Amino acid sequence: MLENETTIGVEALVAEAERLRQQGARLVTATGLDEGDHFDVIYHFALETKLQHLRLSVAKADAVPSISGVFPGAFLIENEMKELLGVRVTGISVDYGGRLFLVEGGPERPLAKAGVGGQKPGTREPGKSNGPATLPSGPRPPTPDPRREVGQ
Amino acid sequence: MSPTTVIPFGPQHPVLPEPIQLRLTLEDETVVGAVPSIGYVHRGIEKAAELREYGSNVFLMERVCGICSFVHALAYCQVVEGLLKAEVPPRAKYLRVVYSELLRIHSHLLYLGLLADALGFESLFMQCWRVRETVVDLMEKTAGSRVIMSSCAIGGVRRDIGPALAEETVRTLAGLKPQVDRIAEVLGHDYGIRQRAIGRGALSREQALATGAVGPTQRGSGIAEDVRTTGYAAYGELGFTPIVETAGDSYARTVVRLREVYQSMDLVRRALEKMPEGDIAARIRGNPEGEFVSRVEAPRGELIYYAKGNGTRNLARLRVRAPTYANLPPLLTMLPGCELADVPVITLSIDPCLGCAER
Repeated sequence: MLENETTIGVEALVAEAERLRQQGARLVTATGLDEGDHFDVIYHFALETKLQHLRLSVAKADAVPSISGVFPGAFLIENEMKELLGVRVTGISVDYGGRLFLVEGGPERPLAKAGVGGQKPGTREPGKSNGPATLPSGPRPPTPDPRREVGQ
Repeated sequence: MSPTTVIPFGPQHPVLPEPIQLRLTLEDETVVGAVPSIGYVHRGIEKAAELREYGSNVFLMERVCGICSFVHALAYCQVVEGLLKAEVPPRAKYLRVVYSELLRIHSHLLYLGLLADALGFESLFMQCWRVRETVVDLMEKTAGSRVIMSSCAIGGVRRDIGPALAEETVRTLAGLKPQVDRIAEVLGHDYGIRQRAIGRGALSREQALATGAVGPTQRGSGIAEDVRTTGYAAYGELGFTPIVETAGDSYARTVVRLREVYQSMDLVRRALEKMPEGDIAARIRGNPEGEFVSRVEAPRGELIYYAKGNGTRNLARLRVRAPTYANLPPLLTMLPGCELADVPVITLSIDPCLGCAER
């Protein structure tokens, strides 16, 4: 538990983010944690010099709504969390389709914990054996359309 | 309406020390949209930090970025000290300020040189880097290394600065001031620099806040936010006021960095003069447990480390958010409306460090 931390439900995330934005908060970053059977996601905000944290817990199969509509800078953070950890973030303003950092043929969800319940990294379907990581297949997803202005 | 054209800017470009691609949408010569493509220098350092014992991660984190080496080590040491509830000796806190500010001077002079180079002003580029060379020499004399300083440790610092070396450091920096004055004079009056930077890449105060800008990018837009005001290390005892410019353009961001060179010189001098006697490191025992967040002001802005310990020698999670990562969305706000020819200088004006951003 961090100092100045509030626990919220997934459904309250966007409204809480909007409330903080109206108070003049800046989105610092978000941290995804693989807790075995669920993810914890901590959103870090700065209100002048103080940090404020919002924590939510979400089942691995459940989605987390994007806050990129409230804080435009969230789109990189959310793409990273989705790609490196496997958090299902929906509605990101620019979705890189799992190709922000990782390349085709590289590891999948490298920050996900192995052997602590839930889906092992590198496997596409829950319940698969502990075999080697499954490499991504198929063509590279389309590059996001640059005409969708970001950060405006 | 003119037809739009999409062109790639980067990942290799003469103004970019590190690779990033911006996919620019143009109407004639005017940029109307931009999307970044990164990942060229991602090394999985957060994962690597989980696989190593927390003590040896200091060396790993220092290698996130060569330019910002010390501040990464400092942010990491602070986060582990927070988890272990360890107290750092006062002298070590002052030495951390000295090393951080030497790093800031060298980084800002590096930026000023790169800006001059991007503008085709080769003699100014060489002057900036010539001055920087003296600072890098000072880093070598005080810390033992010119790039990866390796002087920060969990519980304090590794190397002390004795009275003779402190006096030499203060004297050398005082000797550099007239040389920086000459650089400032050129930056302040050169027609070409002013034409290419003033009014270009504007970022309003509201946009800076909404997109999460940090560091000189944020302070160039009139927001007086600087992590040093929170008083970490010995900043709370030295007195510190952030440098702010209000124009929000490429020139304002450059002026913030130039003024911070002087401010950092002053902070080094005051830290060395006020530094108390005593140990430079505390003995740290135990394994980290719990969660903690550490923030420091890197040369490019706020650097934040989150760590979670589980009572073992390895951290359960380490999260790093470097300032350039936060300054990419503001860059995408600065670009629409500018001419294609201005894209290189505007991009450079956030002082991008992709090694930091991608980890």
